[in-house]
Amino acid sequence: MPSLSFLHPFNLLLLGLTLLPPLLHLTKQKRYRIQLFPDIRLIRKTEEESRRRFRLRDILLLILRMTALASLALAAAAPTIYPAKAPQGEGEKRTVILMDVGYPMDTTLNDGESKLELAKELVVQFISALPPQTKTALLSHPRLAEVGGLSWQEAYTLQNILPHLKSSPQPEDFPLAIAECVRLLGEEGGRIICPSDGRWLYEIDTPVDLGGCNLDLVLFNQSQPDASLRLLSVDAGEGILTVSLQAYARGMGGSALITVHSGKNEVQKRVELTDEVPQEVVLSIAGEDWGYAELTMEGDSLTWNNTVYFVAHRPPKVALLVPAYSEGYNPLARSLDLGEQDHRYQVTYISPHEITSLGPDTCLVIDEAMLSDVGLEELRGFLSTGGSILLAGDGLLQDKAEKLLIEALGVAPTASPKSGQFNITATGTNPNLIPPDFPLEEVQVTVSPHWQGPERVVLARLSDGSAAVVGGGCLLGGKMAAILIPLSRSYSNLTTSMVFLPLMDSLVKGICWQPTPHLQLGQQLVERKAELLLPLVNGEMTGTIELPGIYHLSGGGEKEALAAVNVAGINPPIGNEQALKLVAGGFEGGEVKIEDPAEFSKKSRTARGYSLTAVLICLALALLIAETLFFPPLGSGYSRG
Amino acid sequence: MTEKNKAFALLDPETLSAIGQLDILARQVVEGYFAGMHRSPFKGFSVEFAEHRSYQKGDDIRYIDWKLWAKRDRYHIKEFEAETCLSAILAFDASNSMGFKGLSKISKLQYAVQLSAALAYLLIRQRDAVGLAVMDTAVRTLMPPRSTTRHLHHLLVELTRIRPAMCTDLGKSLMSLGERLTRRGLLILISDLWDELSSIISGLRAFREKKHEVIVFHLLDPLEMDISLNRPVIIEDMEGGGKLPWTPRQREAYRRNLEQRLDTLDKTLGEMGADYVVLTTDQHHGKSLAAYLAKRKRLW
Repeated sequence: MPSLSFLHPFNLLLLGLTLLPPLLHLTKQKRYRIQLFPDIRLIRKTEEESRRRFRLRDILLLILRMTALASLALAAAAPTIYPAKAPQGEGEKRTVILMDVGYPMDTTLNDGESKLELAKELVVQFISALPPQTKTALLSHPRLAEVGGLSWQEAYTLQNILPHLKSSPQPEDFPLAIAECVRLLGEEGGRIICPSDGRWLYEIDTPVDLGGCNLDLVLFNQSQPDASLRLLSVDAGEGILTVSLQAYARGMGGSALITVHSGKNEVQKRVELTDEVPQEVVLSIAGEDWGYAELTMEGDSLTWNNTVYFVAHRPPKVALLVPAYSEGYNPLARSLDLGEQDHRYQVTYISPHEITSLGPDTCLVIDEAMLSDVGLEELRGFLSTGGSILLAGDGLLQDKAEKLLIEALGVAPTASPKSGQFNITATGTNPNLIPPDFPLEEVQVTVSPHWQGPERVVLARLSDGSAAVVGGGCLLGGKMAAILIPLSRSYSNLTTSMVFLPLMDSLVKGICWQPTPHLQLGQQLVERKAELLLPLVNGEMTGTIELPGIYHLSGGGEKEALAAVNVAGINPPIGNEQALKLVAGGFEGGEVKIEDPAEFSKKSRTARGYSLTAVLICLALALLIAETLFFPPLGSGYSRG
Repeated sequence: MTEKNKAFALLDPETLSAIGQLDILARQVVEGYFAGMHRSPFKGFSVEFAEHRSYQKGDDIRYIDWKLWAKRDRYHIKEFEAETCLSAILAFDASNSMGFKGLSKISKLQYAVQLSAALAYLLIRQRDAVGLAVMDTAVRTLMPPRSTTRHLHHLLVELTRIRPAMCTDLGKSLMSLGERLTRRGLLILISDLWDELSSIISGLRAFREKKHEVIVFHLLDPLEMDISLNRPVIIEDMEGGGKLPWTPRQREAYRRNLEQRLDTLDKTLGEMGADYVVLTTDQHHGKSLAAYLAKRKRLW
């Protein structure tokens, strides 16, 4: 059964306000003035008539006002419904908080908050989410040595104590502390929650007996002795991957070996790491477009291995056609300010005779004015490899462009059954080809009769006939595009850049630039982090994880998945496999669970229940509005009559 | 202001101007032998001497007082009470409820006094006799009908002396008045009619059965017509009927009930052959009276 409790029960005293309406009703009557009247027999008659009708109204009004006030009072008491839970055993209603208040817990996390502060917040959240009957106790660092001194405490006492806890230099003896917790929990068992940085896990010599209790380790493990590798960037070009890495050691120093793998190749580099001093390493390797880098560092008793995976990101290639004699001058590129500094594309400038050297992953941009310089055979050869063409211009040479495309594609000019005049609508137009602010409603489109089939080029002409407009569409399986830019005087406010760049952006990306499957997988994993990362990292992934429409990740694809994770810029929540190994062998006689602080917080919030405050405030407002609407003040409704 | 001046102040020029040349015409044959405007079944009936007046051309020489001619060498006509063809009695409700002054500038009693004065003047000017009966729970004052100017003066003085008192018992008062009036004539009831309808109607019916003509002026304050108070109040009966809480939400029901009461009165009195006129005290009594007389003349 769901349980209801109040966060501020003293505010329930405000329920006394519900007596206000009847009290006001009674006191207000005494203030009525006396009006002399010649005869009251008719008034007596009307009073008898109306009394029955309005008695119900008065009662409803009274109830409504009292309910509104009661709702506000209850809202002030912050009622909370806790979701129904499965029947709990007696042991699960007993929880001991074992708080790590060692000095290392003062270490500041990335967001500027210390681990201890965060741990305290999490525990307060957790305690407030516990069911009311739960027995609680707190064992913090200063009391660790007091064997037998731990006893049950009220939850609100713990909530008051926790904010005042400070880090302490006393030596930690967690095995002893856990033994004390187990003693308190007794044979009935229970749950031990231990927010900690986990350093003490390395000091366990013999397995700790949990006595049948469950231990939840909320690990802030960033400060454990560790050596890690972070990916800074991957540059891909001409078959060589240049990988920038950052090696980092915490709690130790020494020599570390960094190995980068890609395909069947690997390169190695040894670096000397100083404690908490990051060091950048750049390695180049020829191979596939993805790979992984490993760091191996040997400490006093343990060896740390850390691996990061990477995927090369190649921007789409755009080739701008320039006249053979222009020595690189291209008026279109100049007007667009589309130079090499634009990192969105790999821009190259080619002469007409170089068209045949272009690869299939290139989008060839041809200025309309240069159509006469392009050889038909070269164009046809380029298209046959699967290349894409972006034809740009102001439309003045539309007929010529059309003819060229027809000839290049080898499509016979036949009359299209769909030819004719029509207006562009949002549904009839590829939205990627039309910029958002383009005045579509003023454009009249003529479908060229020379194209047939669904993948046709649409050549449009402005309704005022001043200039040809867009030709937009894909041909031959999405490998061909033609765009004629509208630059009529009527639309002089549309500059070339305004129109062309969005078009090119969408067209180039849509045709010749596809994100690698790894990157897409990474994006999917970001969205499904909680679901997918943990089994991936723990190596527990079995079977197939299906990412709809993108990728099928089988048991053998973990490395690719981790590469994608790295590309997407996320780190596994439990990165320290060493800690996991230590936990696996450090305890016996009970279940140990490692909790990520973020997940732990999320679960606590979920278990906290659902606040009814907002609902009650809304109810009160609704009642007051209803009163205003349906029960106008006495007299005001009648004076109109 | 002397009592005389106060009395004649009731006949303000505006009222007199509004009444103009209109006369009350009896609808049926009334007692009296005067063969003027009113038809009478009695002829040569001796009556009491009233007063002298100067002879005017056309006067019957039989009524010249020769003795006075011998003394003064002028012709004077002797006038008698029974020369009037109409004997009207103003039945004046002077109960406490008539003292109510709501939204109007004057109380119903003041309004009734002015209305009575106007009617008395009108009747006496056309040589009809007019009397006054002041009533509350019983007939408190009764002035028999007379038609002389002096009587008008007495009547007006009496009107100025009326103060609201006691409760209303119109039925009993009317019965009592009916028993005391020996001659048939015109009964003009001026009241707010806050009494049991059956009692009022039975009292008036008694008059009608004795062949009296009946005109009822029902006076109401605008606040009585529509209780437009926009706040709840405690309403206290002016005649000791108790107190009741009143809220504006009763306004519609009150108005509906009042209309029903007025309709009942109108219908019942109409069937009885009596005139029923509702006047509110925010209307000018002279104009209201003129309007009524004009309507009555048209009906005649």
